[in-house]
Amino acid sequence: MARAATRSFIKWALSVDRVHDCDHIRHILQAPSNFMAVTHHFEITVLYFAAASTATQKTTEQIRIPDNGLRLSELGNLLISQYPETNLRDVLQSSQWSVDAEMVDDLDSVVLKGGEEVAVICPVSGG
Amino acid sequence: MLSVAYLGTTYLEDASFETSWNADGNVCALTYSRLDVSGIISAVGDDTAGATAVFIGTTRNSFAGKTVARLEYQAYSKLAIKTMADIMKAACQLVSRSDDQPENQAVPSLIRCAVHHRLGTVPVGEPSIVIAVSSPHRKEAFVACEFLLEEIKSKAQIWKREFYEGEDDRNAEWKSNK
Repeated sequence: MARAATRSFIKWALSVDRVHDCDHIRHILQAPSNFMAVTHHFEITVLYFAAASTATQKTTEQIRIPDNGLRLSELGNLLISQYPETNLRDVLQSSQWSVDAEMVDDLDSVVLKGGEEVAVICPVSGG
Repeated sequence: MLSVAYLGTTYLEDASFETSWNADGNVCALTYSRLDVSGIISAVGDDTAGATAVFIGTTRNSFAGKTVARLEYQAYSKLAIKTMADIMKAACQLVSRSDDQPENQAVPSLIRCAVHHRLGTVPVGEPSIVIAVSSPHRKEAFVACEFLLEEIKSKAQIWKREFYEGEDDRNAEWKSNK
């Protein structure tokens, strides 16, 4: 009984369908030319408001992320490295993040896959 | 992406757009137009209302000894309007029963709420936010009005920049409510 279960697990684990379901493995298997063709999937849109837009002199930009995704908690350092002569580090320290127009509480829990709209939410000052 | 540079501030024409939310007569709005205070107040009017509480936030002419020339507001409209709607729903939950009504009698203690926030340039003296709440009784109207204001000031994704007389626009300060 146990041996049968093990056999069926191994069969499942090696099945072509399963490999095809896994984006990560599929991209490794793809030829380099195809790989280049899908790079636009690994971009996110970053929106800058208030002090963040003053620091970057931009309101929005496309950011390339690694093809195996990027933890939201790592995005800050990636952006800071692109704006070395600015106060973006200070701005990000006091800011929160939103992904696809939802505020994010736990930055480590979110892995960006590409296609997301990420915004730097500086301390708000409406009213 | 379309963005327009204007007097030292870049407006997010794509992300900071006019929008509104409306449910059961409750309204949240972000607008570049001048706020019509009396229109907003009459929009929450109702024959069952015994009270209408109104808050009008206006651009003050000074900050820390400096003369304020104007304020400029921008919003992440898509997210800000959701936040404002959630706050309005919370206000309706919070103020769910009037103390002047019997315990077991289901009477809505708020009739209608409206929050209008202006975007873009707001000259000194003009309203940047108008909140109006109608209720059968005054207490709930006051409580809900203050709750809406404080929650929106602390949570809605809206930003204000203060421009001062005689100073370079690049020194204009992004404010923080915290």
